[in-house]
Formats: sequence, structure tokens, C-alpha cells
Amino acid sequence: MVGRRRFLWGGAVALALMALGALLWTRQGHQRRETWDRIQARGALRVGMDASYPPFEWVDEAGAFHGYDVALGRALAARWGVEIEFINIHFDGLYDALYTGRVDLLLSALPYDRMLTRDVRYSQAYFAAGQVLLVPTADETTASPADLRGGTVAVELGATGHQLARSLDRDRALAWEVTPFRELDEAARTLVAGEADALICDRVSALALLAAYPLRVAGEPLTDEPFVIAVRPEAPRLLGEVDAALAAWQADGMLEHLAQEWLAP
Amino acid sequence: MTRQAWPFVSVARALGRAALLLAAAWSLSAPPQRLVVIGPPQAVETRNPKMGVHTRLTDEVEEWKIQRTFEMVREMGAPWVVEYFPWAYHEPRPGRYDWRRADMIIEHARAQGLTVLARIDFVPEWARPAETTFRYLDPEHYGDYARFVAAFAAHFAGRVEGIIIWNEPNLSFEWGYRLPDPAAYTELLRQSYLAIKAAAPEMRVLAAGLAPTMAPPGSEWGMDDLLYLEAMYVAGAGDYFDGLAMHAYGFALPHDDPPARDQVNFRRVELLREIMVAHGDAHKPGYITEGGWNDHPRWAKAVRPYQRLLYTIGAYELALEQWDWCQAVALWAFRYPWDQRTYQDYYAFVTPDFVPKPLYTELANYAHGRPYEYLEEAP
Repeated sequence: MVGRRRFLWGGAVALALMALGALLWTRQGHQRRETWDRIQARGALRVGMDASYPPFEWVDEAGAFHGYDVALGRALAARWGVEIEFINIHFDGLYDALYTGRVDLLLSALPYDRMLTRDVRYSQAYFAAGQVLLVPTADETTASPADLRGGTVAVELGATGHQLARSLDRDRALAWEVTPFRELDEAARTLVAGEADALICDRVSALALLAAYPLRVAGEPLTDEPFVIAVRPEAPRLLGEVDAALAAWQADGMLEHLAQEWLAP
Repeated sequence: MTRQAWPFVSVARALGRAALLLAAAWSLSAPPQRLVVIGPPQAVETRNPKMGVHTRLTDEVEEWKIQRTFEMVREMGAPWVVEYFPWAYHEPRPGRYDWRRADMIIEHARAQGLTVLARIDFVPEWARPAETTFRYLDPEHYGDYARFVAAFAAHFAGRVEGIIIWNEPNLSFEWGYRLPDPAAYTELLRQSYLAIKAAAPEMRVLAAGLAPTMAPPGSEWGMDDLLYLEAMYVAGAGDYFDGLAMHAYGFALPHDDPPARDQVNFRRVELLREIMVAHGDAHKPGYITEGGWNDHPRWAKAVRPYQRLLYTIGAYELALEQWDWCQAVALWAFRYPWDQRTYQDYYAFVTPDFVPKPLYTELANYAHGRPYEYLEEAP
């Protein structure tokens, strides 16, 4: 009698566990399919962006979208065989638009934000936008701020590069003379003229300067500011597809080509 | 002591010693807390008594940073601050008010000689349906909001200058992702005003600052601020506020760019003022509770940092010299608790580590009549 009762209880527990497992599997599978399948069923990828950040995204007078992120979005849609729809949203409303399902993903020169990693999932970085050190191409030795001890560093007045130069100078006792200019171009011309030893600015600005002046980036970026794509947590399939595309394009040089095309005119 | 009792006493002593050791170890391992003392009252020295900033202490957890923020505001020469007090933080359960954090913030501000305007919104979960944002408030809960702001007014009477009822209700995002509704907002304002005046008659009630926008009619994102204010007056709002909060963002245009209905610039607030005057509210003041310029390197609505510097000083001066109706110009945003890593960082006056940006340095020079450090001449 006792043996039979144990058998029944054991069977009931096993059945309950199986039911729970099936429920979880079904739910996960449902969620996994949700965003990705919705894109496929719709035949269109809905991308949320604040199209007021040239050269990454902007809208012309005719309402057409342009920029690095726009090209990247189109490449994603082409890879997945769907159309693309850009939805222009003020930056402050981007994440809400993602949470509420109004867009499938956010592609908007979006910096990685560790404070939001419970609410969204981020792709791998597709662009590094941190601050960099620029020196004249004739300077073949400088590889880090420490190589410029006692030097003159040109910056744009009040820009992040200005803040960084002051803090590097203070924290590492570099004895720099930090010279602010109203315009970054003015700082670059001073550097080329030999009146400064280096210039600190963000990498997006640097790519434009590199196209116009005989300068080079010295060493690694001074700060880390990766741009990433955001999806909802319950969109692992979509995130996987995004990461796979970015990895492939990192490897074959497509991302670098996009940077040159849109950021270094 | 009986023979039966002694083992228990020994065990109790041993446990006591262990607890003491654990407490000592814990106190050694815990990060030291900075002792914060509210010192003697300070006064703001400035040549422009309308200068102000919107502080942003909502998620600042360390008291010394709150104190340091207000110290730096005073040292810059700005007597006005606007601070955000989220309803959900201070009434986590219906009728259960928790003023500890708000008290601490207000006392630090007052110790630095600052005048505080309190913006209140952020709907608690208990006052809104599931799956809605914290800016969603149904008409059936307007009374809950009114009761809360009245309790706030009663608690802070004499310590807070005024209460701003909601924020930018002309944006759907600030209205819980519903179409902006000036009549509904007016009803919220009416209930709030009556409740506040019953609780603390001297507390000034400010109608919400509207987002400066030229959103076309029927836009799902927002409603033109000038049309919205007109519609508020039509709904009877004029009887239910003592002053109007205003948002004066310059975006890519200078501080003295002339106002126009088809232009969003710093002086657009003059058009709001015209609407107030047209509706018989010339006697009520305006308070700029957000505004200013952004110097993000790529945002199309930003300016270069040196332009921001010129325009900001120019804006404070313009309000001082030309806007007799304007009580305060509190620009967004003094400091963030941490880097936002978005365009918002480029509104800040100082970094999260309290490093002053050149903007702060020059504003302090302006307010104290000292020579500029970066500017060759006054704007």
C-alpha cells in the first residue's frame, strides 16, 4: 500500500515538473519567436532612432533618412530579407518606444548604458566613439599621453576633450599646457603649424580631421564609448542575428567602410 | 547562580562576544560614511538675482554630494534652484508619506541660501494601471495627486517657494503616452491648486512648464505649447495658478534670436507671456524652470561649447534687464549623479565629480563681476 502511494506521489511530482518545464519551454519559445517572427511576418524591420545626430542619422527636407546608422539599418534589413521602416523619436523617448514594442530595435548612435542592462539587451559594439589623441603624422613616436610630458595640448573650449586634457594633466602630473580653441579646426591648424604637440577630441570628430589634415591617432582611445544596438530582453533571437551580422561586418571590413563613407568625408 | 543556569550564561556571553566581533569586523569592512553637517546659513552673492539652475538630485544617494551640489550653485552665484520630487518616492503606499529625503534636500538648499521650486510628478504604481508608464495618471486618481501635493505643501510651507504641477503635459510621453489634453491637465491643476491652498495658502502654485514644440495638429507626439496654453485658459486654468513655469531652450539659436510662432528659441517664452497678458494674467510672474543650451558635438539642436557659454551669460543678462515679469531663470541641468552617456551630459554645468566646466567658471565670473577666464569680452 505504502509502495503504491509513493509511486503515485512520485508520478504526480514528475508530471508536475514536466508540465512546468513544458510551460517554461513554451513561454521561452514564444518569446524567442516573438520579435524576430514579428519582423518576418510583417516583412519589415522597425528601427527607432533620433534622426538629429549627423553624421550618424538625420532627415533631409524631403523626409529621407541618411547617415551611418541608417546605412547600417538598411544592411541589417537586406541581410534578413525584409523592408526597413525608420521611426524618428526624440532621444528621451527611445527606450520607452522599445519597451512598449513600437519599434523592434534602437539604432541611434546609442552609447552602452550599464544602468539599463536589466531592461534591455545590447549588441556588441559597432563603433568606438571615445576620446582620442591626435598628433601630426610627422610625429612617429608618440603613442600615449605620457609621451607628451611638458607638451602643449590643443582642445576645443569646453568640449569633453578639454575636460579630459585637464584631468589627465592633473591626475598624471603631465605638466601640460592645455590650450583651448573656439573651433576644433582652429586647434587642428595650430597642431599642423607646430604650435601644439597634440589634440584631444572624440573619434567621430577625429575621423573628419584625419580626412582634412596630416594627422594620425596616437595609440589606443583614451576613453571607452561604444555605440551599440538595443533590443528588448525577450528578443534573444533578434539579438543573436544582430550580433552575427555585426561580427561578420567587423571581420570583412564593412563597418570600417561605413565609417569612412559617412564620418570621413 | 545555579548550576543549571551557568551553561546558558556562558553560551550567552560567547554569543555576545561573537556578535561584538562581527559588528567590529563589519564596521571595519564597510566604506566610511562622510560626516555631513549642515553648517551656518550662507547667502548667495550675485549681481543677477534671477540666476538659477535645475539641480538633478533624484537619484543622488550620497548626502555630501547633495550638499556639495548646493554649495557649488551658491558659489556660482545662482540663488534659485528647481528640484524634482517624485511622488512615488515620497508616498510609496497610499497615505504613507516619507519626507526624510526631501527634508534633507530642502535643508541643504536652504542652508546655502537658495530658494527652491519643487516639481512634482512620477505616479506611484498604486495610482496607475499595470503596464503604464510613471507619467500616466487617470482622472480618477487626480485627487490622489492633489492630496499628495497638498501634504507636500503643508510639510514644506515656508521652506519651499512654489510647487510645479506636473511637467510638460503637452508631450504624449510626459502624459503617459496619451494624446495631450489641455482640459484634462487643467482639471488636474484645479484640484491641485484648491488642495494646496487649503493646506498651505502661502505656497505658490505654478502651472507646468510646457515643452517648447511646434508639433503639428493631431501629432501623436505632442501639442504646440502656445496652442496648449491657450486651450488651458479656455478650460479655465487662469483661476488655478499663481505663476507659470516656462521652459526656454535655445537649441541652435542665440539667446537674443527674436520670438516667432514658427521658431523654437530662448525668447519663445515671450509668446507664452503674451498669452498670459491677453488672458488677464499680467500680474502673475513667469518662472523659467528649464532651459538653456546643449553642446553635444553632433546633436543638430546643439551649439559649440563656446557658443553655449556666450548664449547662457546673455540669457541670464537678458532676463535681468528686459523681463520684469520673470522671477527666475533656472537652466537645465546643474549636475547629474553619474554620466548619462547621452546628449543630456552636455547640458551639465559641472561633471558628476564636481569638476566645473568652463561654463560654470565663466558664469561664476559673470555673477561676481570678475574678469572672464576664457572669454575675451563680455557677451
